[in-house]
This record gives sequence, structure tokens and C-alpha cells, in this order.
Amino acid sequence: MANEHLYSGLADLRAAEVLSREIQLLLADRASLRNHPAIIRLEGPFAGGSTVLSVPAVGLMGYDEMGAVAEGSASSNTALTDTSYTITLARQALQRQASDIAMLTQGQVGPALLQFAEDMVMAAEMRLTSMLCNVLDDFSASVGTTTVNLSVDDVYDAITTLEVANTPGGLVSILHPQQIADFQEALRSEGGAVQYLAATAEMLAAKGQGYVGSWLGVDFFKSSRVPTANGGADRAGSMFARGAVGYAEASSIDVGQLGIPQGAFISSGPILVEFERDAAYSYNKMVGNYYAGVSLFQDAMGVSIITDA
Amino acid sequence: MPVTITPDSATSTNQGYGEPVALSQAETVAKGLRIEPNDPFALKAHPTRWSMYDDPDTGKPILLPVLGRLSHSPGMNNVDHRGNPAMAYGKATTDGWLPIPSGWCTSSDTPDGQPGYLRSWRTSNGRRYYDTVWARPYSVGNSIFFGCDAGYIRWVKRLVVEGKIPACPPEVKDKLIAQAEKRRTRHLKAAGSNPYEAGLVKDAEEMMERIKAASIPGEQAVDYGMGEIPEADELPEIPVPPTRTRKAKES
Repeated sequence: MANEHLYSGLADLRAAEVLSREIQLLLADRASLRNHPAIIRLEGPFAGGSTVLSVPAVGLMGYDEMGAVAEGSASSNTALTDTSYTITLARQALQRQASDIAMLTQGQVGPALLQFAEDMVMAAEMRLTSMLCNVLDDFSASVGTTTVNLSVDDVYDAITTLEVANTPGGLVSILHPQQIADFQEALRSEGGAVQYLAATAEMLAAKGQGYVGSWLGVDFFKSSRVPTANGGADRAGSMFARGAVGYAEASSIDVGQLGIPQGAFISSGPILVEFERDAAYSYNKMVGNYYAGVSLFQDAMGVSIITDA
Repeated sequence: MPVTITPDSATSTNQGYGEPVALSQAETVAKGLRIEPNDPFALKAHPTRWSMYDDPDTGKPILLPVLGRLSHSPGMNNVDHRGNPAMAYGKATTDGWLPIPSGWCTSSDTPDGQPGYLRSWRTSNGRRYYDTVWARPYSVGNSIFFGCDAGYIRWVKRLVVEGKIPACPPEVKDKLIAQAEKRRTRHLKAAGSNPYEAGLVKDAEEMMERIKAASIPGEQAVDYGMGEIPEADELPEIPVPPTRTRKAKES
């Protein structure tokens, strides 16, 4: 036999490879901490004429208790305790640039300009999560032992530290995925009363990203953005109550005030995505801007959990 | 053929030191670290943050500070929109933190022989990842590993011995011992029926002994001062009970 039509002989009629129309997302930690009620969200200070927001705190509602005064004696003044915490907002941005040819040849595969714009939303969320994780390792109280895996005892120590400091309930813990894995490992063999809790079994189930469960009244989250400590030997997670940390963001950017022409931007809440055309190079630039700041407020309301990475 | 990589500056890739490197190191340099980029930072110490380490020279336990990070990224903890960290440093100092200048880390403290403790590595998306020189991160496939050079502990110990970081207050050691004792007691309750818990009792006992034996470099007596003697009118008057006299028995 001869002259069969074989695939290997049809080089001019067949493509070496065809792009699937379904694009897979590359693996990444996409869990956001932005909306958890334990993290205080505040309005940015731009309208007031500054980049710095001052958050006052006052010692009321039982901060000072009454003292006994004997009959016939005068009471004396008690000073009002007040302080303030500041958040400084700064620009966070992501830029992409694609040539005309790169865009024209996208066909039905993409990613298209609009997908890049949508990506800015998640990029801003991840930036805020990263900023939060990088201030939450800074509590002056810490538990855990360097190069030793996180144990149930470390979690108890953190809870005890916060209880002794009189923090209100609703505790949250943000740990590195390795710390969560070590915690699950320790829980598997845990004896005593907690071994029978449904929450203990729940905590052992395989988890995705972000929220991993509630155990003994503490909401546990995992994030790969939790920083290293002790020369890379450990990870510095945290446990805290509402009031320990806060962030501020410019909730909506006044595009009219900036004088940007209609059609050249997408403004979605705190994120402004602009498009810029460089005709000389036939480049299409997309820039996402987000103005945010993160700060620790009350140090005593949190504890760093520093254990083996 | 082995790939030879040499660091180019104090913020170099820091992978290998002119010697042949393993595939993982070559991959790290060629593709960049598979890790989220972060921001430059300074280290800082707080008088309440201490932990037990193994002294790399003697192998004995030693109490050293657990250093924190002071980010230099705009928007983080009051670093302003231009990247000026003055306000962040002021707040940290007010809260009791001691910022550690880069100059306290000399070339003899670092594994690459360059002064300063901060290094940066290129990430796979073209940005930078910052960590201390002793961390030595590298990628293998999708995983990230850290070299964790023991020089870090030697450096922190030197700072405490030389008095740059004030020594560990004695109360911290007592607190760590009490913490280990509490762990031992908790595990003891279930040790009879759970061999894992029995093992944890042993671990807690060992930990307790190690903390007791841990040396505190630069230890000094602490003068906490004394309270003031209250004014005379502040002192409570204690009523004197009436004296009772026993009546003589009538004969």
C-alpha cells in the first residue's frame, strides 16, 4: 500500500497544537481576609484632606470603676484615659501591558482586556490580605517554640494569653498552611474532653483555602502570606480579637475629581482600573489602583503564634 | 554540567557561593522563587518576646528574643505614601519595640559575607521576595523551602551578649517554666489511656528541664523600684477592739 493520508504527513493541513477554550487558573492562595468582622474596616481620610486617618479610643463604659468615698468627704477627679491609632493610606497598584498583536490574536481564548480588569479586583483583595498578614505577626505577646511544630498546647496558650488580657470573644486565628497542617496532626491524637467535640472532627477534614473551621470559639483561617520568622525557620501566625487590627481604604475614587475622560476607566468601589493607549508602540496598558492602609490597634488584643515552618 | 551562581550584591539571589549548586538552586535562579512577593522590612525586638533556641555552638538551650518585622511598605503600619517609615518607627518605639539597624549585622554574621541582614530574591512573576540572609529560600517544583542558616542564632545571641538588645527579664523564664508545667499537668490527665498523651507528658517534662537549664545571655539584676509610702491620711485606721477583762470568779 502507498499514499495513505497520515496525520504525520499533513503538516500543512493540521496544527501542531490547538488552544483549549477553557483556561485553567494557576494554583495560588486566593482566600481573602477582607470582610471578616474581627478586622475593623474604616473609611479612608482623603475627603478630609489627608492620607492619615486617626482612630480615637477612649476609656469609657466601665474602663474606670467608681471608688468609695466616706460620708463627709469630697470625691476627687479621675482622669479620662484616651489614645488614638493611626492608619496611613498609600497607593497599591498592578500594571499589565499588551501589544496590539497579542490582543488581536487572542481569538476566543483570551485573556481579554476585561478579564485583566476583573483580575485587578482579586489582586487588590490579595494585596490587602498580604498587608494584614504582615502586621499580624507583630504582637508583643507570642506563643510557640522555634522549630517545633504547632501543637494544641500552643493554641491553648494563645487562647489563655488573650483571656488573661480580657479580650472580648470572637477570636480569629490566621496561620500559615503548614501551621494548620501541624495543628490538624496534633488534633488527630488529642485526648481529653476535646477529642469528642464535633468541631475537632470538623477541623480534621480536608480543607480548601481561607476559612478552615471554628474550634473552641476561635475561627481559623490559613494563608500562605503569613510571613517567616527566626531566619526562615518558623512562620509567624496570629490569634486576635476585634480591635487588634484595622484597615482603611478609599471606598470610592472620585473619577470626576481626577478628570479622567469617560470610557478610559472602570471604577468599582475602592478599585480604579484605567486603560492607556500608547499608539507609537501599539501598546495597551491597564493599571489598577487601590488606596489602602493597615495598622495594628490594640496590641494586647492579639498574640503572635510562632512555630516551625 | 553544574551551574555556578555567585551573588551579585547584598540583595543578591544568595544561592550558592561560587560553588556548584543543586538543581533546586539552579531552578530558583532561572525561574525565580515560587512565592508571593513581599516588601522590604527591618527587624525589631520586644522585651516580652522570647523563646528557647539551641545554641549552635554549645548545643545547650538558650533564651533569645523572637524578632519581629517592621515593614517599609507604603500603607503598612503607618509607612507613608512616599515610603517614609519615620512614623512607623516612632509608633513601634512607643510600643516598646527596639528597631534593629542593618549596621548591627556585619559581614562576619552572614553566610554570604556581606553586611546587613536583608536580602531579596526574584520571584517567578518578576517581583521581589525579601527575607533575612539566613532564610535562604529556594524552589523545587511548586514547593518553597528555607535553608535556615544557624548563623541567625549566633547573630541574635551576639546582639544580646553585647547589650544591644536588653537581656531577657527573669520573669519570662519563670513564665515559660509555668507554661510547660501547665502542659504537663494537662497531658497527665489523659496519659493513662492515651499513649500519645503519655509521650506529650515526657515532652513537657523535657521542655521544662531545658527551660530551667537555659542560659540567659547578658543577664543582669533588674531594679524594679519600690512603691511609694501612702500619705498618713491615706492609711486606713484600724479600730482597736475593746479590751476584755476576765471577771474574777466569785468565790
